[in-house]
Amino acid sequence: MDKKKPSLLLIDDEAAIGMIVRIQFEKDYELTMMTNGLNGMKWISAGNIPDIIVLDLNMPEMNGLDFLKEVRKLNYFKNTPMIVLSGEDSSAKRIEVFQNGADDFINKPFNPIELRVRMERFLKYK
Amino acid sequence: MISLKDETILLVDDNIINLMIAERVLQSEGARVIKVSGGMEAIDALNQDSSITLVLLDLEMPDPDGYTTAQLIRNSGELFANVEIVALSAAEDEGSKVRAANAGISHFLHKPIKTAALLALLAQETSTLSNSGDHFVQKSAFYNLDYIKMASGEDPDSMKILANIILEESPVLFNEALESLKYGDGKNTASILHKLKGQLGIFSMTEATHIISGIENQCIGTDIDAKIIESQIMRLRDDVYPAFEEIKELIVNN
Repeated sequence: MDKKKPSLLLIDDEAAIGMIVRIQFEKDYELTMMTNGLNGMKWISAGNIPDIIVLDLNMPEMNGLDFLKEVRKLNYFKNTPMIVLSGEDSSAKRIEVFQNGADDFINKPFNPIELRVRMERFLKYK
Repeated sequence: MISLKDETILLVDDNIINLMIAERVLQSEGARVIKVSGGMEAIDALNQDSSITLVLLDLEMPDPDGYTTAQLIRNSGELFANVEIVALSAAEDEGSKVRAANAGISHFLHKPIKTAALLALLAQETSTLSNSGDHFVQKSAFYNLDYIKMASGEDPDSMKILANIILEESPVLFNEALESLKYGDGKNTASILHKLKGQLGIFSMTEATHIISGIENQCIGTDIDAKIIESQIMRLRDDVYPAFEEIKELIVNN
């Protein structure tokens, strides 16, 4: 019997990033894609529970930082791994992201193999 | 034959032994060498000495590391736009190279520094520049399709779809950025440019992405000069579009 695929919620308003994630991960993950934090929150609030969340920072409606804060307020999502993809790399930005509840940080343009390995590292302990 | 005679080279490394070895190699080729042991000192040295044409930068330094130092140099707008940054690193992986390119580093050399490799690299740079009447225009149109190939899993159909997304969305982002600037909304313009930078990054348009970083910084200032920013965006657009046509020909129409 097939093992159930882990579910991945991607929140990014860049269609190209969505496409890369689709190309690279569709086979092994149950993918859900949202284009901003607000839609991500709505999806979660509707009772959906992803195994892992990958998100951008710079988005309309609700940006990545606000999404991180909101999600971490929810008891059920205290331990859900969240990986931030960001085009802005500085130690100040990484600190801000980690202080707001992210578990990991990857620069854009990201190497899909690196994202896969980092996601698998979190999913191994779930 | 290229020589390092009359070149002023800034060496940035927190390891004094590495600094001494590199200095000896470079001086033996006639270069003038300035040594510093950290990122912030590097910025100071660049500010003080405008004859520096090349920065050899160690990536594995304590805060700020080489990537951050490169970004700081590139984010200084056009001030150090003509300075080439070459990374010296022990890292071999593709991720480090992509990260370095994204931070504004032009080339990657392995440690310990080898004179032949450095000279070959400078020869390549010099021939590139001599073909160009305008550094900004020539270099910002550079692209490389290695990343998009990797990101699309080396599948030609996926690569076409991905390239098409960028080729269709980027012109929209250029227009949105110019439109937003008309309303004096610097923060929104910066946010749109940030997105555009992400798109061009997929074609590894490193120079163009540095220029965008510089423009982004100008947009978030308190007293923004919309006219100058507008002309920079339009100039960049004029540079990038011919490269888009080439990419379209290479990927989409093939």
